[in-house]
Amino acid sequence: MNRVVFARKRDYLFFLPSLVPLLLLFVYPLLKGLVMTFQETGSSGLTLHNYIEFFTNPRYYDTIFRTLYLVIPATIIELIIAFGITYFIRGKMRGKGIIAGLTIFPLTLGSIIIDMGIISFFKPTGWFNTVLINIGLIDEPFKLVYNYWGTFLALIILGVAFMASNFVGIMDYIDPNLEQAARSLGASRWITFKRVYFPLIRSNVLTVFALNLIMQIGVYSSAVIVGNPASETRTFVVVAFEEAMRNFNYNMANTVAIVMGITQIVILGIVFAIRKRGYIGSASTFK
Amino acid sequence: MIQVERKKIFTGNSTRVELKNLTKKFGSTTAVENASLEIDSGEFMTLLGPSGCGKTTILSMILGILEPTSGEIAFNGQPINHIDMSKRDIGMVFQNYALFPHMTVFQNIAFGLDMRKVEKEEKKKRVREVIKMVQLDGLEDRFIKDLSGGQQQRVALARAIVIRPRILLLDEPLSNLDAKLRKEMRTQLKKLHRELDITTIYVTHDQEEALSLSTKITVMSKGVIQQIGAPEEIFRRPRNYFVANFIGYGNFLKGKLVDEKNGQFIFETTKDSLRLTVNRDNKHQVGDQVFLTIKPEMLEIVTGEKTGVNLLDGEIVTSDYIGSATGYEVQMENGRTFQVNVPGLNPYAVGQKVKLYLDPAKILIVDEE
Ligand SMILES: Nc1ncnc2c1ncn2[C@@H]1O[C@H](COP(=O)(O)OP(=O)(O)OP(=O)(O)O)[C@@H](O)[C@H]1O
Ligand SMILES: [Mg+2]
Repeated sequence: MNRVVFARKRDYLFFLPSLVPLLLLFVYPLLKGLVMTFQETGSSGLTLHNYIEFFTNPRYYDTIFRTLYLVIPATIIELIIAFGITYFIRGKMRGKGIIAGLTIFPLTLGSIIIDMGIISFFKPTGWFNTVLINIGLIDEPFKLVYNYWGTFLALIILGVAFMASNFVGIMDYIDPNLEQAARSLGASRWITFKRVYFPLIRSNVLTVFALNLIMQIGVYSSAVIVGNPASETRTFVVVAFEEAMRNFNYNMANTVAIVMGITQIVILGIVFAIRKRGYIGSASTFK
Repeated sequence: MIQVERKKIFTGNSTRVELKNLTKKFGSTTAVENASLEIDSGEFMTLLGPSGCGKTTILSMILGILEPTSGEIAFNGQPINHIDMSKRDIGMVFQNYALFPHMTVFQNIAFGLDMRKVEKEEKKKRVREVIKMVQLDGLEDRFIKDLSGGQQQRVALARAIVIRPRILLLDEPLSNLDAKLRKEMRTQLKKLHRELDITTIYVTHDQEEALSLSTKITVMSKGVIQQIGAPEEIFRRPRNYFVANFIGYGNFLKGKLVDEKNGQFIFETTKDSLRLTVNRDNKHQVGDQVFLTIKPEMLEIVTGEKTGVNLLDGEIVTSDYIGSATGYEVQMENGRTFQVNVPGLNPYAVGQKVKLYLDPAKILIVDEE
């Protein structure tokens, strides 16, 4: 991360062979999809109709808010949880491996298995509600699946796992002597965190946060399986999928995808603008 | 409450540091064992010893990074074990400098003053003062990664001294520098210590550094203090085999003091019953198991006729020109060898039969342990 960029001259020739599959697999479909958004089904004339439809029909433009309303709070909570756990176990600590392992483990399961787990654990007759009712904390079970909260939980579990797996490395990279130097110079634990530790990991933490955020904007299976894809969790990909698979309107499906892409780029831009306001260099002084 | 305690403990600028039976264990390994040490205020004490002998561990306990397993650390007679490291008022130069990469040279140096809420003008004045002292003028606004190793080291030093700490801890601060810069920095450190008069504990592997800087040296091995003394004392009268060996004595002979005659001991080696005469010292007596040691440059090669004690017949087996002197290996008939340094370029030839003379006044008796 944040390595010195070396000036490379002719090395890029080696890069060309790997560029071919990239062009075929990624750039070509993207361009083709982009062109399709300016066409209507069955005709090849260019038109803005799809975009006009998207931004005037709440069935479409609502997906922007629904997705962000779901994903932004979720990723902020994920950031806090993942940061808290990894900060707590940073450096040498007994049980570090177990805590880190349990936190990161969901990544190996993938989203569908997580969704299944959430259903059996959080459904009205699941463990979670049964325990709460039995100890008398609540009378009615919480409705935590097949709605906003189901998807929210799924996002949290995977997002925390993803961010924590990255944070562990970022935090291990910080020389513990830096904190000790600050403390020996008279800084309290909090000041040490604020003035030394956090500024050094801030830029990498925000990069991971941005990455996680744009990944979660593309949420699909959790929105469908544990959410309510008809309303609350009608995210970008749900709508795009519906257009393509049910209405066979590939032009509209691509339009949704492009709007999603633009939303991701805008959000990325905002996070990186925030990131640029702090220290971005290396956290090590050795060259 | 801690504030009050701190005032009570740090009265006046001079701080005496005492370690009493200090022990640190990491699981089953003992990094420091029962170390007792007194460092007077204003003293420059060097911890000398091979890698892994517990030097950094001792500094870390004084600084407060590590908690002693048992024993006590006291400043001016007051135990400090329970005082938080941010309140100990110690300037530390870490083995790897530990400079803040996201701050400029100025900000790094000013950090400790910010923590002490020193008012802005005063802060600027003091930072400028130390920058001058360590000769970093003009580099105030550089980031750390844009400095050379030697400059980084000086920033670390400046950051530690600008707070006018009670104690300065320096963990091999010159180990990353080239020979020339190391010498320069050594001179600067010496001057600095004379000007500031801060109680200093300095860690190094380098004997020359230890000799030139310290007012007192502590030699350690495997977590145990071997000898404490003034530099001359350590180098002239190493107490035991380890210390003598570590500071460059050679030609060790293991054996026993078997007799005493005219103020001299008669010594006999265990392995080959070689008998030597050595001047008496008042620390040993007949019957002691000891080592004799003599520096290669103290041994003499005799080619002409000479009679008396401590003359050994041998043959030169190797020669090695080492700057201003030539190093020879001389082998006796029974295979025992001696290292001899003779001034000049190759005065003897390999294969030549020679006599070795071990002057009884130049042989040192040291303990085994
Ligand atoms: N955190 C730790 N956990 C376990 N063992 C440790 C730890 N820190 C140090 N040790 C051990 O304690 C012993 C003393 O280490 P220390 O760092 O004090 O050596 P040192 O004298 O400073 O060596 P060097 O000259 O190489 O810096 C070593 O054997 C080391 O392996
Ligand atoms: Mg060390």
